Amino acid sequence: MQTPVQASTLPMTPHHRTLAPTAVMSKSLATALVVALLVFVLGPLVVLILWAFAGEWYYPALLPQQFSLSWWSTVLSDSHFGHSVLLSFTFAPIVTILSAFLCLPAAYAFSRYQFPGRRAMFIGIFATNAFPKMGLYIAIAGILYAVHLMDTFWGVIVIQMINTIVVMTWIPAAAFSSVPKSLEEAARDVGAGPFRTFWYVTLPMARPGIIVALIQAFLASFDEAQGTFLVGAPNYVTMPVQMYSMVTNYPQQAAAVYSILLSIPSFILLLLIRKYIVGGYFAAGFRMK
Amino acid sequence: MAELTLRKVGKGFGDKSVIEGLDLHVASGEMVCLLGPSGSGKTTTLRMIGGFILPDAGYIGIDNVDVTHAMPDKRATAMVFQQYALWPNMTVFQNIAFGLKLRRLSKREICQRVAEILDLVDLQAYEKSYPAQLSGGQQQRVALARALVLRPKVLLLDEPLSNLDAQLRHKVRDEIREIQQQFRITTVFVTHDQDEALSVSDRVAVLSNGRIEQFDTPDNLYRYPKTEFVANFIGSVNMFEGRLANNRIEGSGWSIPHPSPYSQPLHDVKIAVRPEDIELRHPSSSLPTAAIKRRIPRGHYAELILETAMGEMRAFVPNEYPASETTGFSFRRVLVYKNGQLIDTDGSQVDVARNTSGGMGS
Amino acid sequence: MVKRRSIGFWMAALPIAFLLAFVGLPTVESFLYTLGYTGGPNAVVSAMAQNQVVAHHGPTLGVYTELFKMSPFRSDFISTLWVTILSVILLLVASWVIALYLRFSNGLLARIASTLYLIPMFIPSVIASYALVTFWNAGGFVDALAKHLGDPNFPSFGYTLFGVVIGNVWTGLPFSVLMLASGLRNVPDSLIEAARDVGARAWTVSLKILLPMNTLPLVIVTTFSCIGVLGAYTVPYLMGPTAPQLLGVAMANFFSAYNEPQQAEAMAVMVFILASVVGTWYVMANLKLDRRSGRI
Repeated sequence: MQTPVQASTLPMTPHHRTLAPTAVMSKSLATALVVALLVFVLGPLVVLILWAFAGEWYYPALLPQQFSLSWWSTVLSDSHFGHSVLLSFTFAPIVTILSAFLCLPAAYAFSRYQFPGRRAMFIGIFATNAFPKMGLYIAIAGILYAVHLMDTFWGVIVIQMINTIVVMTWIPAAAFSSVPKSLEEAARDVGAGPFRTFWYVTLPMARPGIIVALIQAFLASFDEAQGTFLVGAPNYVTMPVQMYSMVTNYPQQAAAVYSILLSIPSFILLLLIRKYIVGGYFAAGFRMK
Repeated sequence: MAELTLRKVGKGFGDKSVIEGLDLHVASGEMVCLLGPSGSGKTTTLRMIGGFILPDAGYIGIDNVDVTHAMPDKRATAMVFQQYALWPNMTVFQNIAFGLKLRRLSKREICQRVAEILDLVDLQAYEKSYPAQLSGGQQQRVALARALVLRPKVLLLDEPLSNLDAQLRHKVRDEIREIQQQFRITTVFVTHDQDEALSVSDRVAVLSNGRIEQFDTPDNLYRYPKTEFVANFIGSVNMFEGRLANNRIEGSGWSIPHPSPYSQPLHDVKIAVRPEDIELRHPSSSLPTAAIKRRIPRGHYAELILETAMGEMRAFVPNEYPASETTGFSFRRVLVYKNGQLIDTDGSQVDVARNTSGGMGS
Repeated sequence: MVKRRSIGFWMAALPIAFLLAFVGLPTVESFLYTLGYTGGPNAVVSAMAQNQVVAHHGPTLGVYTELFKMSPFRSDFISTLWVTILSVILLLVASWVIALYLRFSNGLLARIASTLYLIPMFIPSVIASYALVTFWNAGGFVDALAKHLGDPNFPSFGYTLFGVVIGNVWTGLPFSVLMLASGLRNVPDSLIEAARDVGARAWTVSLKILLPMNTLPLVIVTTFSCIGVLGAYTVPYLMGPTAPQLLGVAMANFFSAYNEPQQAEAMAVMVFILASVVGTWYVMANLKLDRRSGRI
């Protein structure tokens, strides 16, 4: 069983890294690679930020002719903006919490119990990923009509939760699996009951993986636009839904300003869990056990 | 058949020096152990010989060819790794044949050489198995075969037995020695287990803090440990402080006769006595006395813990030795250290020059 | 033990029940709908639908054959396949190179690279697509830069199929590199050193040792990227051309603009079938790995 925790503590001599990078690719090649990556990844974002502060920017100038903050006040004073921010920050936490209640027990069960249909269920969760979201939303719309959830608060919740189930189950399941059984047994041995054991031993050790899953679920809900638009419009226009209309109907600068505002929460949250993501808690979730 | 030479080799990681001015000469066909506690630099030395770490200073040569800065694939060494490092995606055959394929040997020759080597390590039946399907001992032999099949000039073994259980360890240890003798292949073997080192090698280099304390035959290491460190590290020893004067070794409240070769009295010396060199005798006024605190059965002999004026000491005695409450004792043989260096053994002044050359025995 | 078993089952059943109700059921319903069954929960949608194929004597594949008779749809379908294949191949190659580089380097440059590849994960896809199209579009930054560098004929990729490929690679990069880098990290140094010792060069090590030892991460990246790209909406909607459209966009248009939900669902089913084929590969790869390691 490969777990992120084990992976990072592989027995290695203290002085590994014996193959210099030059043994794999030359220094200049490596520099070229990183520069290409830099331009490819950051280029579009830097240009977007420039647009947000541009008063006038005419082709083919490489920088705006005139800088201005006027679009910021335009966007920030727009009543739609405040409303959509409020909505986004209402939906995302509710979806995350509900999803956690629904999925965390399952994640624990997948990692610790053997029960009939376990593997079929695990694969089943994956299979829901394979149906294209747009087609799914259209199909769900039919059902939501039938149960009168169309254009309602809970309709949007349901639609957004669909996107959180996989991360909320798989990543914590891997995190629970990475807790050695012997540690739980040791806790039981000194007299802790199953709940105490879970609360004081298993949960703290699996915490990084669970946090990664929570934040991924939060962002999945926060960034969801297609389904929310289909089910929630026109009453529930969240930030990304608003963004669609910004892109098509507003000047470039306004959309750029709005983009930056919409990116800030994602950026902060991901920054907080960056080390866990890179540490392998995220990747571990995608190996079935 | 090849000789291996390390001259003034140095290596540091960051601002921490791990190896300093290390000299080592391994004769053709010789098996040498690098022995030391963890952090002594033995693995670093081995990896420098193998080319996995490049030294900061010094020279490494195989048959007088300078390989100091050659990459691993460009030097005639082959390494057996601690965790065996068998490629899990390849069968036993593919693991062994990989290096041969890279050398563009004909298919027939590859098959023939792999078959030969599998025969040698007695794994003919496992050619198509994957490493995960083999036991630890078998994996170890595949790793050995993979190294030997390339007919390296120097074979390197990095703690090859540390992952095996005790019984298997003895067996594989003997097998390795047998194969080494059969091919007369120059071999460097890293271990932290002195028993392992003493029993397989022609000579042992004892390392501490990145320097070779002593490079000698197993017998000499035990009988003439050149430094206090070696005396402590190889076998068990009783150490106590005293001074040499008047043909006696004296301490606070005790003195024993010792024909000193030095005319001047020597202060602050350390006396080392092997437990088997303590002779228990009937108490008498001319002998120091000891109270027997405990008797530990050791199988074919017994170990006694003695309370003496020099402090607590251990003695090995025959099983049938009657354990009385107090006893007199004398030393059959002592080693005397001054500033960590051996200066006197059994009343004969040690020829320090002879020992520092590291050329004893063999 | 029996008790524990049933507890596990009921704990796991919670999300499964949710998925059955809100994914399984609609999927089955929409599948039946495309076969011509307009009753049940499909009644609401079908009541206002146009150009429906209705089943009179058992299931019918009418809507599928109708779709494939339309040449714009055929080109949509083929474009989707091509964009998917090209995106995934480019993504795999780029991620493998980056992951390899990260595995063997630890300088300042490598630290920069390890932050860079993660950034797209921080950006909502609506914004990513918008930023990318602004960057690569005619009259955009790349266009302007090419003009300044003396190449006025440099192609602009905004609103082209290749633009969609760029968008897919950009948004897929973090997931892909994360998976491969994590897989490469699980290969102990000694396995690589052993290969170097017997004479393998870096290229051989990468091809003969690292690649075969990382089949599972590679399969994961391939399947998840394929599935993501096949059904994607945001990236092709904001970055793609008006014709041919990728299926994700075409689906939405057929549903809302042309009011033909049955056709939209038929496309969804087709994408689902394509995705299932790739998904089966992922499941098989996992099971195979289980069998290999299970017996050890």
